[in-house]
Amino acid sequence: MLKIITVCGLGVGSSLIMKMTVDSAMNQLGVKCNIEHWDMGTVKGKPCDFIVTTEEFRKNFADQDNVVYLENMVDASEAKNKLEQYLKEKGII
Amino acid sequence: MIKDFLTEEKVITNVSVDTWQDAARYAGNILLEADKVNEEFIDSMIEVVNKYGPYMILVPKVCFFHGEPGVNVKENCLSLAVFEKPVYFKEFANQQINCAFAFGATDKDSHMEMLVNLVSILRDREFIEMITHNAGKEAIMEKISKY
Repeated sequence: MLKIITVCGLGVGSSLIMKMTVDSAMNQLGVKCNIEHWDMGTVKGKPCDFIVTTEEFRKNFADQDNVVYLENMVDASEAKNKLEQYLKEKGII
Repeated sequence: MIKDFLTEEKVITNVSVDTWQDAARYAGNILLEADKVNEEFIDSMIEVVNKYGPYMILVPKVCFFHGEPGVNVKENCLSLAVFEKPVYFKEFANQQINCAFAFGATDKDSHMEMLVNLVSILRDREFIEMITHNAGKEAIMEKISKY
């Protein structure tokens, strides 16, 4: 099963909200996954298939190519489109 | 339910502030006055922006300020300040917000249900229109009463 981590600064608000949005987008895509939410301070080194976070954190993940960035954290259709594109690129679907 | 958190005294419209720091303080002070958080919590909402940038703009123009969970928060809580004119994060690519929530959590996950409900109301386009265009308080409260 795919493991996804959503990330924000504190791990209490935005990352939880993104977790819900990613969860409904992945359901719509019919891909089973396990989603955890973490803060920037502790996420480094946590094993996962890919990360979902917001545009603001792009600079923090400059050295990684397994990150999907959202502009609107509650918009499941934006998340679905971006996740679908990512999963296709990586040959997962 | 969101209406249990965003009660009459925790929603203020027509707010006039000049900087994003004042915006965070304004929304935070609503919670301070309601005795839900203490001063240090408001400082931590500002610090997290200084550290990471305004990543808490959840929906374009809608900010969701939040600070460190824990001792500085007495009870899970939420407030909403709707601005008269846009506020800019000058140091961060001039990103614009037209309203700000302040959100306090006592720990990492006891507020899950509140966030589920918050996501529902933030997916309501009419509500987003209202809070990004300084709609009247009555109309905003009427919308909140449904969530």
